[in-house]
Amino acid sequence: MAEFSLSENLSIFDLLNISACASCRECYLYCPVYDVDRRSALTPREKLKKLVSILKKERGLLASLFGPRVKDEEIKDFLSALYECSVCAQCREVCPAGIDTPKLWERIRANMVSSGYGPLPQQKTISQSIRNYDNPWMQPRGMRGKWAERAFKEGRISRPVQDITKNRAKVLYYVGCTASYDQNITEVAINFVELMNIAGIEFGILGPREKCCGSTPLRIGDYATFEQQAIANIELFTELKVDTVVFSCSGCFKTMNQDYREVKRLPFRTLHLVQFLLELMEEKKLVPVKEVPLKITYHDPCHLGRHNKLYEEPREILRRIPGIELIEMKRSREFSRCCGAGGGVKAGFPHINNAMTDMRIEDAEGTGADELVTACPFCYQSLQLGIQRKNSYLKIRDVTELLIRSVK
Amino acid sequence: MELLSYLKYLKLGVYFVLLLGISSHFLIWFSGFFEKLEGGLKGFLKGIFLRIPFQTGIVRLGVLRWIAHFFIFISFLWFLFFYWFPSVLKFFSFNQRALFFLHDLFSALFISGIFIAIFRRFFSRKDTRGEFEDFYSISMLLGVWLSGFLLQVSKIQSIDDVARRPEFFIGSTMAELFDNLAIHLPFVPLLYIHVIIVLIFVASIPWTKLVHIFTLPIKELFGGRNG
Repeated sequence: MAEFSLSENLSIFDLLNISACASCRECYLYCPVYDVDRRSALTPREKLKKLVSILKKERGLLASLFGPRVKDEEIKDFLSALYECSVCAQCREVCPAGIDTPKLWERIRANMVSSGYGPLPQQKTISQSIRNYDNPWMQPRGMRGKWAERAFKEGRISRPVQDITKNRAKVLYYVGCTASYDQNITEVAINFVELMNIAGIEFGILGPREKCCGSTPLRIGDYATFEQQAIANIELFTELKVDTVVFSCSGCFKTMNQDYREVKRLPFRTLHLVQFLLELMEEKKLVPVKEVPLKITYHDPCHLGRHNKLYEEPREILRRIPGIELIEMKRSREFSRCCGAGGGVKAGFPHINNAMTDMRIEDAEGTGADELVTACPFCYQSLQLGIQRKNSYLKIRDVTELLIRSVK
Repeated sequence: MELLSYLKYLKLGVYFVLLLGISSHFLIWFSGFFEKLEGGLKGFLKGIFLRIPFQTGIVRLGVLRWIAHFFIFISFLWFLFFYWFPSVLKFFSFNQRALFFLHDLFSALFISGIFIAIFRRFFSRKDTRGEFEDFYSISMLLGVWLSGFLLQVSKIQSIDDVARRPEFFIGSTMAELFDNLAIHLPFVPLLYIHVIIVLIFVASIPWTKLVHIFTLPIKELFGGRNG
């Protein structure tokens, strides 16, 4: 194991953030992980306290005089709490001190990985799979674009989807691993593609050449794999001279829109499909006319909402669909409860992911809505499994699914 | 008054403990690498003019909470300058009447803030009640205020000629009330009690949640995404 230093990868400003906690316990009230696992060690405040304690033993006055004295068990205990977090940014949102916890957790996880402590054994296969197959589920690359071929054959889309590497276009639809490979989620990609066709947009997908964005490796601290994916994707998109890259997955969008910019300058626009669809609606290229008489509630994906502040765009799309009645959950927008799938929790702590999803479904059921709508295939997948597991009456939908019913 | 000279040594000891605690924070901070300020100049200015003086990070979490914290914060600053750095207040050339009025005002704000904080712990934030650090912080603030206030009253009471007493509105009224009740507050014991509470309070800053008194403003200026 490499020599370990918790502060190795942290900037002066990160360390200022760590010691600025006022111990107010506001994060206790909102942390979705703490809601399902009542160990205070998991709360952001306790993690920050533990961090200060370890950092003092590593770099404080006594450590400077007599040498560091951090015990291995302390690191391992902290590691477990550090990874049992979906990096949903809820704590950052409610912290009166504005401590940038997600950035901190990700940087410390990167330290844990570079020193051999992290990631968790269950999470290691994700990075391996991404390095070998360009997706986290060890699926062959050749299968990545099959959903598009199948959808055209089945008549679910009106035109074959163009391979952008063969037929250049200004708009690239980056489908993402979940919507490409999960048979239950390809619906999201199919609907979006058909909406593009209806709007008359020239676009293409990468098919087998699409590579994972590297979001999960970044969240679990495997910065090397993330950087490898980031550079490969940026170079490919630049080579293809695309103007705009559109994402259906909020996680991919967050990663490329924010984290890629720290790796390299992006010579193209990055938009989530809710932004792109709203632009098309503004330009009257998509006009919802048919009534969709549904009582729905909307789940804000963390990466779209708290991380990118896109709260209004999906709601505006839904509001413009005739017949839709949108009922907000008690926790929505910046207080939206995380479904628990992100940040490596799904792989590392599946029982926590399930419990968090169940709570979110209960939030949705509490509104009396018939359908639960979201704008992220990864949340969709988690909520869909939760609905089945809980035998809930709710139906899970993507924003695109309701919009296409209204414009088709 | 011989005992008073020992307080000087105690004060030195307190400074040492304070320095020891703060130095660990500085050593930790400077072990990190430099990176571009996320908030940039805009964030820095926002920190100076908005987030630090007006505590905007708290306001969206509840008005009552903001009022409590803001009252404690501004009156803490007043007391800090009044007693520890009086030269800063001299810069404003307040006349005595204004100075006494402001002192009374901040004293009232301080205790109001503490009472609101205690009130919240019995109603909206019952979850914080079992917390030792929270209990300690509020108790210390209350102790500093109460002992300081009683000390001020005893000081006023010690001037027999009522016409020559300083015109602290709350303090003078209380002194009169105690006079009428024939209660004479003992100045010297109160002085020791107050000084000792203040020194314990100051010494404990870097070792308890009170550390945010100095870490948070520094973070607001340099280390936050919001500046």
